[in-house]
Amino acid sequence: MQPLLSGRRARNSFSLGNLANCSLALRSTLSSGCVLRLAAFALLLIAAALMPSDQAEAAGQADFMKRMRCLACHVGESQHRLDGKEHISKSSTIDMPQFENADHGKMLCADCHSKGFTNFPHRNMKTETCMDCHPRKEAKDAEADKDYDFERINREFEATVHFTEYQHAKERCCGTAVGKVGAEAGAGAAANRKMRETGANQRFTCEHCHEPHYFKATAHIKDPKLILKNDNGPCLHCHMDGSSVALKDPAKPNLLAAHAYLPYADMHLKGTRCIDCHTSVTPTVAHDLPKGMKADQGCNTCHSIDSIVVRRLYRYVDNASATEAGFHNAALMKDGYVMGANRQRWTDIAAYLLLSMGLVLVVAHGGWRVFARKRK
Amino acid sequence: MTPLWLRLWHWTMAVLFTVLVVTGVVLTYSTSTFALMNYALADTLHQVLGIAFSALFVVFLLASGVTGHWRRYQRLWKGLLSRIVKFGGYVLYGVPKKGNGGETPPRIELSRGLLILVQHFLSIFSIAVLSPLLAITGLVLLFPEYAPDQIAGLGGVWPFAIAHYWVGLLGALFLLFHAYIATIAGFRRMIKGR
Ligand code: HEM
Repeated sequence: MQPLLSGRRARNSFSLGNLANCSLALRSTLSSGCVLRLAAFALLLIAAALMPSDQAEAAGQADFMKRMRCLACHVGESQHRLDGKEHISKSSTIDMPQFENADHGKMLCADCHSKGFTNFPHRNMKTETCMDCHPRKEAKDAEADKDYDFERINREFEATVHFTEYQHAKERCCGTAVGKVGAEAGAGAAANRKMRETGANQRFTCEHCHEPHYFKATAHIKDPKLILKNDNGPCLHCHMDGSSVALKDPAKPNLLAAHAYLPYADMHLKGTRCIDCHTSVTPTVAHDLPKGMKADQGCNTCHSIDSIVVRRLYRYVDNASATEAGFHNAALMKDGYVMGANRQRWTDIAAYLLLSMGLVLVVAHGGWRVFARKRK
Repeated sequence: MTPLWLRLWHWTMAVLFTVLVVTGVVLTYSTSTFALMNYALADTLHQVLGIAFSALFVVFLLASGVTGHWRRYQRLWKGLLSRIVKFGGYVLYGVPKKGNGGETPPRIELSRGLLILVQHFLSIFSIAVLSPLLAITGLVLLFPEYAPDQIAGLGGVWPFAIAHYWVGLLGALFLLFHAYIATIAGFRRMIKGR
């Protein structure tokens, strides 16, 4: 098992040992060993709570205690499972190192799981969703959220097939939970196929793509390669090879075949994000989803000197558009070569000079010919 | 007499090359919001016509080998560079008075003579240097997956892209001069054969 909590909190976690397994056992039958371990754990928590060293630590420990109540059952390797009866996936445990490393990692469980979770079994639960908090109100957070324009994001999202197709269904807590940052995509394809076959009974929400426990904004990931993996994960979770969701041609559920019209489809699929073509390219962050061939907004949106790749996938790379060794947008070239975006300044200048000189010679000689004929 | 196969080959190449230059410019010099023509179409045309161009170049080599047409270039090449230099001198400084009865043709005529020699050079240059280099560098770009992953810390395609660009640029210059000089030498031989 991975370490459950890091840093200061790790001190308090020495007894957590097999707690995740135990919590799973608790959900089926309560074994006596488990009851004993839980009781011992409760005692340790009380002891830890009685020994605060200073105020900040005390506050931290209070948070820790609050979380512990939940984690007693919900900690461990993330287990995105499909409920056989309901055909929805249940994300019942949390991978703590991943959670703490993610953007919501400092929050308390109850901040979002706000109602009905204090008692077990949980009843009449309510979980806050993304738009319940975002855009955030406090000055500093509001500033950070402003760039995203959540109202627009919501408007765009609600016009996509993802939303309209499942609009009739009930909104359930937290979507199908697509997994951790950088997790290998596709673990859920089989599950999703099943869900599709039985008829979707869950409305599509932000959380389907932005798993709130492990979500990390691209601004915090920065490295284009990691952003690529992170952002393609949710798409591939459902649209990977072998899935039956909307790969256009159900007879050929194959990503490469679906993109065969692209030159070098495999390189495009490996080197760019789905959303770099499948959302409108004008804003930095877009949530619309032009359908089918409309996704193709012109190759030159990327294959150009002012390539949108620089403004989108590479936007957290320092000076991505800088010229190095004469090459424009040199940052892109470290990962490959983008025709049209990686022009070479000296070569360009040489081309302008040579062609203009050539034209001058031709025009001059042509003029001379005309002049000579007139003189005759 | 210019054989029919050569005339057909030549005008096909002329069309292919002109479209390749235009589409090459579109592929290199578009902005994110403006392209002279649809970029995807330019890309497809450039690939398909580039392959046709390379194939026709091989056809030319075979046909001139089989028919013995290559000897024409051998003949044209003999002493060509020194004749160009000599004629260049005439254009710049005039024909030496000695031995031509004092009659010096006007400079414009001399320049026409010079340009026709340059045309011979350009024709040979186009088939001996430009076409094979364009085909080879283009072929590497057609299969970028076989290019080295990195060269000098940058994605390995760039030296081939730059080389292809430069040969293409020389090709565009060739086209400009070749087509201009054609207006002096006349199109008749390349159309009617004589
Ligand atoms: C708009 C494009 C072009 C025009 C107007 C044009 C025109 C001509 C003309 C008029 C001639 C005859 C010159 C003479 O009698 O001295 C000629 C010869 C020739 N051109 Fe072109 N040309 C063009 C493009 C090309 C291209 C793209 C190539 C090669 C890739 C090419 C290769 C040649 C060769 C090899 C000859 C000599 C043929 C021979 O005499 O055996 N031309 N061209």
